[in-house]
Amino acid sequence: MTKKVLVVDDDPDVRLFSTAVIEENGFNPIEAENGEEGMQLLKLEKPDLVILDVLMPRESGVRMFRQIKTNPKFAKIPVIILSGITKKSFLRSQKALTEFGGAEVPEPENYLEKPVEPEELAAAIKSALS
Amino acid sequence: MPVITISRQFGSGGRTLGQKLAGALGYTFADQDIVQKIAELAKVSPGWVESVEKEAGGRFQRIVSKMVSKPLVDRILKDERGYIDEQIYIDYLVVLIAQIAEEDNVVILGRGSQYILNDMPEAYHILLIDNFENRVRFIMEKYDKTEKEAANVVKVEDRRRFNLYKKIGKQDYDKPELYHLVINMARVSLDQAHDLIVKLIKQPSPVTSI
Repeated sequence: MTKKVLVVDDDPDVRLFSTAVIEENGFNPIEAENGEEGMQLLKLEKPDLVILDVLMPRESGVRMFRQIKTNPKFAKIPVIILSGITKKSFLRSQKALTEFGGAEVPEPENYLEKPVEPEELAAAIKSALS
Repeated sequence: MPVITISRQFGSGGRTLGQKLAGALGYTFADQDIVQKIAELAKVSPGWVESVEKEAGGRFQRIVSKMVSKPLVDRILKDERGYIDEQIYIDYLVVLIAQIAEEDNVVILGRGSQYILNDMPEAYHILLIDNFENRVRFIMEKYDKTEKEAANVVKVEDRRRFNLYKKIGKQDYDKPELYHLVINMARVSLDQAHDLIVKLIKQPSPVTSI
């Protein structure tokens, strides 16, 4: 069965780019515009991988990432963060949210800073799904 | 490449000092820009973000978060298709402050930045304190308020500060241990405070362990 990859990003161009890379590499893409939609799709579709932006309206990738990694049902789904926010800033923000009373969460399986080359994204997807 | 965070008891001159420092050092002053950026991200008005900040843990937030659903908010605010509540605000805030700090040479005013950046070696955390009467006087002079109006503003802002920190589980925000430098503005002028901070950040080897 073809593996499903959920792309969560508010930028339609990034979703187009990511879904094209996913399809070219033989996987099945699913799209969401924000973390709220992303969580709904995650529950419905049970994807094998999530590619997640950090700053989005309504519900950010920060929140969705924490929801994934703190729920035993979803915690094993690998997450690739694809964002204009640096990895250092993302990790610092996660640490702060833990210090502010949130649960401790692991680092994402991979972190790619925008802009990213198709080959780089493809390699990250294959690695996460292998 | 230092980052300066300024936490303050409202009316102790934090915004004025932050602007003065940023101007003198050629740094960026991050205050209202943070509100603006959060508003853009959440696709709401800056006024809504400010309401979340001001009413943290308060009545407005309870109404928006619990009594009004997101779809209903969308229908009411047809041109404003976003949504924000305290949790979303905090999620954006921690990322933005971390990212602003990465860019170096910045003065960040409040908003929990002393906690978010507490392990950042190049960050200097400053706390300004002052007694209530002086803070009221400062607001009267700075913003042309009557004594009664200024006292009310200071009380409201003190409560807002308490509520905001309560929301993130913090009550030790006035503890000296969190900061590199605590300045009592009742005994130190704005110029002296400015010079103390400049002197501190010019030190080649900051003490960073907290």
